[in-house]
Amino acid sequence: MSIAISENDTNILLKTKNVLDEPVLDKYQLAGKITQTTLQYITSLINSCYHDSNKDENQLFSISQLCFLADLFMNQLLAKDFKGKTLEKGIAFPCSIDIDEIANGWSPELDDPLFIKEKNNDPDSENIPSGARSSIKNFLSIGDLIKITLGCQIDGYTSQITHTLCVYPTEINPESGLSQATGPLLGAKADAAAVAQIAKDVVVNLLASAASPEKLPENLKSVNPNGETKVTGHLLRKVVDHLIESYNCALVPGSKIRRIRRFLAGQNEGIVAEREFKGCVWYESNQENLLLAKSQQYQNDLNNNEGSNALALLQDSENAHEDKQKSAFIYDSAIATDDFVVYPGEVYLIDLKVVSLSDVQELGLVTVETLTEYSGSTSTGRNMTVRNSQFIRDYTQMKDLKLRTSRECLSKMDKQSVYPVKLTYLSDEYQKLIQSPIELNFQNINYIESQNVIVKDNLKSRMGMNEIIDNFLATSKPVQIVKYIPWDVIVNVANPDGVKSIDAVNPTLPGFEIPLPKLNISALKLKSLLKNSRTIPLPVAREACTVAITDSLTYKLTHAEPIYLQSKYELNPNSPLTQGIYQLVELSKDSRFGIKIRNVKPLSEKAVKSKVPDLSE
Amino acid sequence: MPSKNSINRPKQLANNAKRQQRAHKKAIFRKEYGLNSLNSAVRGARARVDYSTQLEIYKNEYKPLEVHHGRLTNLLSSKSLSTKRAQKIARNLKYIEKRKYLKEQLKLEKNNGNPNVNTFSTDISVLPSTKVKDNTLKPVEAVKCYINEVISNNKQPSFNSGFIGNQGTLLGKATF
Repeated sequence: MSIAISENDTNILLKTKNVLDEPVLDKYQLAGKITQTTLQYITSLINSCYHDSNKDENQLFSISQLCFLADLFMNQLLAKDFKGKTLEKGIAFPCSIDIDEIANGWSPELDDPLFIKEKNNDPDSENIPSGARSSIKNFLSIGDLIKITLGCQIDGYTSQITHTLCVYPTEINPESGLSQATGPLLGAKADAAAVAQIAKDVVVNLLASAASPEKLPENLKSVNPNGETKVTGHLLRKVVDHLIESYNCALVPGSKIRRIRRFLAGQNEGIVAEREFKGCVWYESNQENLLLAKSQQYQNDLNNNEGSNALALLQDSENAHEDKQKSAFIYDSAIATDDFVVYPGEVYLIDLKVVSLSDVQELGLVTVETLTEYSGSTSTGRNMTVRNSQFIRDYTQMKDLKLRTSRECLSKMDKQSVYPVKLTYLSDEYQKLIQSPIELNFQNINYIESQNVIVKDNLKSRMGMNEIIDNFLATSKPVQIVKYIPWDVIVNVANPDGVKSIDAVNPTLPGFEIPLPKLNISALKLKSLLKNSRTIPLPVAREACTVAITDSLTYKLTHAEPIYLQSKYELNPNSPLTQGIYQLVELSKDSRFGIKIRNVKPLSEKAVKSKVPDLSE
Repeated sequence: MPSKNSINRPKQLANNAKRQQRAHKKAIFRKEYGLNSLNSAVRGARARVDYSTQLEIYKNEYKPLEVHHGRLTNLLSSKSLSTKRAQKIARNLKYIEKRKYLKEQLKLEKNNGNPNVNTFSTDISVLPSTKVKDNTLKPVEAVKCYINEVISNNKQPSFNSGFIGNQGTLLGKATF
C-alpha cells in the first residue's frame, strides 16, 4: 500500500530537502557527533564496570540498564540543540547490545530481564549458545563479542554507528597502574571483527573517492564493467567480497552499503518499499552465486559455446525470476541492483555483518533466524524466547482502538517519529529525566526511583502496544541470530513445492523474498532447515558508519577505533585487487593530493556539560 | 427462521437462490479472468475452450493471474499438481501423439490409393514408440550437481579460503 502524495511535495521531500548544503551538512554532523559521544559514553560505562578489576561485582550495570542509560544520554544531548525550532529530532536507532550470535535487535526494556529469565531454560545448560547465555543472564561475560548499535536523527538527517567490542580479561599495567587487556582477541571472533573493521574503512575510502574518481587506482577501475572511472555498485561488491574472502569469512544476509536520505535511513527496511533504492545488499542468493562460481563444471558449461541444456534452462529461469521480481512490485526502483554510481552530494550508510568460517567443518550457508516469543519453547532447547522491544509505527494504517491505554499509547507514539520506539520513550517519567542535567560521574548514576516508575509505565504501555500490534498499526523490529546450515543439508532437502511459498513475516528488501532462487528454496523451507541438528549458531561482528560525500570533502560522521585483536589472516599482497586497495589507502593518507576525508569528532566534555551546542570543527 | 429440517422450510426457494448465487460467483470469476471472450482486450486473457490449469502446470507454462489494484499481475501461486494427475496427463499426451500418428498414416494410405484403408491396423502395440525420453537435467537438478561437485571437492579440512601470510593482522591497543 502506498500513500498518495502530490508530485510537488514528493520533489520537496525527496529532492530539495536532500541537497547536501551547509545547514543540512551541519545537521548531519551534529547527529554524527551526538552518536559518537553516546558510543564513547556507553563504552566507558562498560569499561568502568567490566574492565575495572577494582569494581565491586554487585555494582555492574546490566545490559538493559546500559541500553537505558545510553538512550537517556543521547536524548539529553539531543534536547540541547534546536530548542525553539519545530523540527523533529530524536533517537533513530535505540541502543542495542547484541552478543555473539545475535545479529541485531537486542535492546531489552528495564522490565524485560525478569520475563526473559522466566520464559527461558537455565542459561547455564549446555545447549544454549554463548550469546543467548549472556543475554538471558542480562550481564556481559568475558570473551563476549558485543555489537553496540546507536543512531540519532536531527530533522530526519540520520547518523548510525555500530561498533564491535569485546569483554577482555584484565590485568594491571605495572607502569601506568591502569587495567589493560591481558592479550589480544584471537580466533574466529578476531578474524570477523578485523575484517569488518578493515572492510568498513576501505569502503569509506572508496565512497570518498566518488568525489574525484580519476584518482581511483587502475586495479580498482578495471573491476568496473567497462573499466569506467566511477565508483559503482559492482566495484563496492567486488572489493568487499575480496576482503571478506581473504579472512575466510562470510557476510551475513542483510549486510548493505546503501544511500540514505532524509527520514529514509533503512529503519523500515522490509516494511516500507523505498522508491529509488540505491545500494549494494548481500543476501543468501549472493552466497549461492559465489558457491556456484567455484564449481568447475559450471564454469566449463558457461565457457562452452553450446552450453548444456540445463544451463540454458537455468538462465531462462533466472530471467523469469527477475521478471517476477519486477512484476510483483509497481515500483521497480525499489529493487536493489549493483548498477548504480556513487555521486558526491549523497550520504551513505555502510553496515557490514561478518561471521568467520574458521571453526566450521563443512561448506555451508550463513543465514539469519528470527527469534520470537515462542522460539525458546522447542524440544531442542537450543534457542531462546525473546520479547521484541522496538516498535515502528506504520502510518499507512488507521484504526479506532478499543482500549484507552492503546489510544494513549498510540497518540504518544505518533508524537515520536518514523523511527523505532521503545516503550520507555513513551513514559512521562522518562521525558522528565531527559530535561534533567547530564550526569557524567558513573558512581552517581542512580535512577532507581525513576526506573521503578518507568517499569510501571511500561507495563501499561505494553498492554496498549499489544492491541496496536494486533491491528497492524505498528510492527516490531525482530531479534535475529546468525546460523550456519551445511549445503549438504540444503541440497538434499525434499522440496516438492519449490519457491511457491513466501514468508510474509520475513523483513527482506523487495525482490529478495526468495533466499535461494537457483535451488528453488523458499524462505519458509530455509526456516524449517534451521531446526536441523547440523545447523550451528556463529558469532558475528558488525561495523556500521555513515558517510556524507561532498565535492570537496567527505565527512565520516561516525567513527570508532578498532579493538585489540590478532587474526592469523591477512590480505594477499600478490592479488591485483589488494594492491589497488593498498594504493587507495595510501591516497586517503595523502592530505594534499589524495582523497580528503574528515572524521567528525565527538563532542568535548565541556560541550556535553554546557548548555549550548558545539558546532566547532 | 425455520430450522434446516423443519417441514415448512421453503426448500426450493433457498436451493434456487443458492444455485443462482453460485452461478453468479462463477460468472464474476470468469469475467475477471477474461475467460468469457476469445478476443478479450485484457492482457493475458485465455479462451475457456482449450484452457487447463493442470496441463499448464505440467508443461511448466502456468502463469497465475491476479487482479491487483485493477491490473493483471503475475504472482506466485499455491496451485500444485498431484503425482496421479501428472501420470494421467502424461498418459493422455502419449495417446494424443499416437492418435496424430495414426491419422497421418491413414491419410498417407488413402493418398496411395490403398483399398484396404478401412482395415488399416489400429493396434497400438505395433506402432513405433512416440515417447521422447527427456535426458536433460532440470535447472534445479543441474544446480544441485554443481553444488555437490563443490562440496565433494572441499571435503578436506583445508577448504579454508583465507590467505595466511607471515604476519597476520594486529589491530588496536591493549588499554581501554
